[in-house]
Amino acid sequence: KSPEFNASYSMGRLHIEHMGGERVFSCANCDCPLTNRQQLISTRFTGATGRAFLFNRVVNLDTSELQDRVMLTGRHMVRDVSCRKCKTKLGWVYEFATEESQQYKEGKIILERALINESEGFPDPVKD
Amino acid sequence: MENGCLNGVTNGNSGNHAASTAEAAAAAAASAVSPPLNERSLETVRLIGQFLRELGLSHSVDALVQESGCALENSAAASFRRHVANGDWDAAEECMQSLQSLVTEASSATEIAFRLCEQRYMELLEAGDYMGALNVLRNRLTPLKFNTGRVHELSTYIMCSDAEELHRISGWPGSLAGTREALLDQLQQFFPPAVMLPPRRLLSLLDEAVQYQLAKCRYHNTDLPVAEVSLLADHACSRDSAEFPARCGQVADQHQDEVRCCQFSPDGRHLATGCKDGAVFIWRVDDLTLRLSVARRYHIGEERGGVACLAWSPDSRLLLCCAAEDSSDVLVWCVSPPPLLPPASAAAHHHSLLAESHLNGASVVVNSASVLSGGSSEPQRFSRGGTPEESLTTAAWFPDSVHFVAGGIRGQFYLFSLEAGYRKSWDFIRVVALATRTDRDGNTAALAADSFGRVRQYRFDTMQDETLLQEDGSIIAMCLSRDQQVAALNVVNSGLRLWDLQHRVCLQRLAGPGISQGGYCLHACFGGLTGNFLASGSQDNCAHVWRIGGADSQPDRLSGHSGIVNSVAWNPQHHGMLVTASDDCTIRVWLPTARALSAAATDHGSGGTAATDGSSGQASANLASSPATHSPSDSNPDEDDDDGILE
Repeated sequence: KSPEFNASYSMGRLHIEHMGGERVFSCANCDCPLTNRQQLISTRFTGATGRAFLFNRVVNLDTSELQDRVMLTGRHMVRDVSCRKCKTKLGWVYEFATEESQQYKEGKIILERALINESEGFPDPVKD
Repeated sequence: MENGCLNGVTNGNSGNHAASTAEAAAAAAASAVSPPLNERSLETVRLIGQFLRELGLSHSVDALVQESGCALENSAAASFRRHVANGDWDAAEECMQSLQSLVTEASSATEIAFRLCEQRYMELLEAGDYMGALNVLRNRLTPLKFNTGRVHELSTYIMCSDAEELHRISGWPGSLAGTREALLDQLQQFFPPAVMLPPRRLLSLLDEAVQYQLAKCRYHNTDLPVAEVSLLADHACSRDSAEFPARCGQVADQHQDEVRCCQFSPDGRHLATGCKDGAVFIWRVDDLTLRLSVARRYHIGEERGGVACLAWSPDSRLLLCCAAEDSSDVLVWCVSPPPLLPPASAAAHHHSLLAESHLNGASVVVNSASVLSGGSSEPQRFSRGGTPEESLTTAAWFPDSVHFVAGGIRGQFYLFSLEAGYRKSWDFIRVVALATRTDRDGNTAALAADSFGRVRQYRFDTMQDETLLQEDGSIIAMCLSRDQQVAALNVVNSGLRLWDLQHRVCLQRLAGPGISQGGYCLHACFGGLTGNFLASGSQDNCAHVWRIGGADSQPDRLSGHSGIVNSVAWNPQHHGMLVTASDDCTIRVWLPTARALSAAATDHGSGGTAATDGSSGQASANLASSPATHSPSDSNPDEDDDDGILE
């Protein structure tokens, strides 16, 4: 299984973080770990490829410049996010919501379901 | 030079100075007056006087006393000193009567009397005066009722037949061996320094000042004895004259792609470098010129994402390599074969290695051929034999050069041995970096930095684990100091953090915007004669070098690379040699300036870029004016020495 690389951004070896967790989400293209089930806030979002999930915290992402976007729920300032390793676009992060009812999304990340894999992880054995 | 006398100058000191004030007044009458010496000057005069007296310059001492009007010592103390030095024990004891009030603790007076009598007794025995000795023992030592055990011991020495036997049995070197002076030095501690100065006081102060300067010296990297440091100016090594790797002496561009790792063997004779294209080169270090030349070329395969980790075995013979891209195995090459043994002892050697793997007896795979006798460029592969989902990207050796641990971010953390392969697993730990650490009792534990920002200690023999420290960010890399007391952690967005592993506290934070922002895997390395330097790669194309514990936490920057410096390696035997590995596909050797310039001079064989008069080995002004860190690369194919045999 050789992953596709968008561009040869090869400059040194990237440090890849891992959040752990019992159910791990990773990039469908290159299997880079992103987040886990504990960080999942809502599954009822829609992205370009269909269903999308809202997460509290995700690692190993690159962010684009700030964009002004009108969505079903109103006008938002967002940044696109992509996998740090293979540069595949995965979703976006909400930086600012104009409507008060949407402000809970600020700082949270949307990942499109079709672009991520869910796999089995394990709990942290260290109890202290 | 101030000339003065004591005009009520003993203010602030109580009755201790009472005795000296009286004579000081007398001396004052004899010497000139303006302005009076202050406290500090008087003390300094006393120290100088002691120094001159200890040198034997007694005329100078007298002149000093007279001209400054400052008594060097309380006069009773001075008389006491004189009597002890001359062996006038009765007179010494009389002096003690007047000195009694000056003693720091009242109880010490008895001990002083005891020691005086003890010396007297030993000297009488040595001289053969048994009656006199017995007299001292009965009438002076015993009535003191002090340290009766010692008195009994002393009484046994009467049986010695002559001086030589006395010296041998008691361990007392004799009156000719400076024991009186030693006695005085010991007695001094019972008196406040105002009455009797500690011995060689000026010299100890000067030594302390020198040590302070050495500790502060930014580039100090040599074993200079304190006594040899000049006092005439503050000691500070200049960057160019020190044994500090200040300049680039060699640029090697044999690699075809980004160089990701570099490691010196513990004996300092070889350097291993690992590349993004999977090439692993072994370089030999020339003993005299410290020049690198390629000795071996290995390859781990191109689809593995490049080399992630290189680790030399502690005996400098084996090289372990982990690949970056989720590889389920690690590779071990035998770089230097073991010393040749005759066949019978070779078998015994093999058996002793088997005995060393003391963990519960797993069935041993007799596999000595490829790894232990080596020389072949085929590596031995170690894996658990599990699924391809496994990832081993970091590894560390145990001190026996037989066992090692390997692990990765997917949760594999295994113990291997060279003979038996996979031995044990520690489950569910996502390993980022590994090291091993041996405690005072000889037990070795594996230290693992994990994905939760913790560094934990794992004992594979007792299966006990313990958390040593918790960082507040993601750990990128970890390296240990040579004495294994300090760990340097590269933490995302925080730079380098130094932790004391014994006391589990953070010692120092070394900031470096190029170190951890951007989240690249940059490695650091301790080095220097006393291991007090820390070098790190950085995104700003420089290597940063810090003096640990120095007042100045600004790093020295070694610039010259045209790409990110991924890794640094400091030669553990040649303390002025630092190697940097970079994304610009080269490695650079940094040496003390003089060596670097002579190395560059030999490079300018034909048509070099720097203006030079062709003189080699001279740190000439010509070379200094050329771009300081630029040297022509040596892509001369004759340099490569691929004979495959290494001593």
